[in-house]
Amino acid sequence: MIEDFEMWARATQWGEFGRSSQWVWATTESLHFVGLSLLIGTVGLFDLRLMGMAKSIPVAALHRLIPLGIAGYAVNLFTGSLFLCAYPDQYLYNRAFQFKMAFMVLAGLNILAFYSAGFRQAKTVGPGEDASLQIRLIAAFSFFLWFGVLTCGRLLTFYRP
Amino acid sequence: MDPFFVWIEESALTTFLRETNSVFVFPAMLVLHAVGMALLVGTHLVVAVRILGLAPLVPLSALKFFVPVGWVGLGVNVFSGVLLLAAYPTKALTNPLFYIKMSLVVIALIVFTKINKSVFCGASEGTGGDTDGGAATLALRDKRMAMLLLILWAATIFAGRFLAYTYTRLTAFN
Repeated sequence: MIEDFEMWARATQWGEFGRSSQWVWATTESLHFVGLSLLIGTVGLFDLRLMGMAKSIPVAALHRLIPLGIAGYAVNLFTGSLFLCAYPDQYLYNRAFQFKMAFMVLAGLNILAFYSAGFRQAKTVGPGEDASLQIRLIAAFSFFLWFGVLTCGRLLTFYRP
Repeated sequence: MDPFFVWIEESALTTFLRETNSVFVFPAMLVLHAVGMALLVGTHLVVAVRILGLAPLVPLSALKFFVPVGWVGLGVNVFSGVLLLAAYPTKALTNPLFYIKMSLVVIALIVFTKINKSVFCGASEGTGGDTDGGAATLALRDKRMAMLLLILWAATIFAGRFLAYTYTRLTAFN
């Protein structure tokens, strides 16, 4: 199944475009870095607020920045798919990539936990107030996981199969 | 310049950085540089988009509590950046793009400092209220500076990434 995906991805025009020039590659990498700054800038600061930093900001207000983080995530899905389609074997069999995907799945589950279990309560955390312990743990986990994604992403090149 | 490059590249520290085959040495510096970038650019980006009018419900004056997060990122990147430069001085210092990147960083930091002064130190009277720092009280000048800051950091990221593709010499020995 992985081999099928690998063959399919490599044959796409998107992948071909990724292989076409190192300037395409370098530009896409740069956009990937801009996207991660957007994601970590918004989600990371939101997590820090939930953990107790900058408490004078009401949680609901800071949550307004999250769409910007989702935009950064979308930029990175788009740019990341170019890398994957261009050289699928360099990623699918790369331990750093596998860890990166695992971190992303955990981050996704953590987001589900946040919105299903805690968001209604977190939204009401006003200026100067603390979030519940459960919310603070979810936020700390989120912060850790996104930096895990970033770390594994940067290390990809050292774990090429 | 070559004798200077050779002198740095022959030192014990930079030889260790270049030649140690461990993910905890040179790759760790690259990871730190990306982490610092996320903290520094991410924080400045949030401040800038808030000034530009996005998320008007976030009290601008309260965002100043996140400014130190950006400075932590800067510290991490000065540290990791100096070590990356020390490991491969010829690679960076013979590439004109490196000087462009450094100029962009310096200008971005000056622009942020001006924004910081004007938005967080000057205008805000109360701390953390919803009434101060509203979009209406922001001068056009602040918005222009915020826009400039976004462009400068994006350009810095592009310049940094393109360094890996534009160098002509890796070390003084080749």
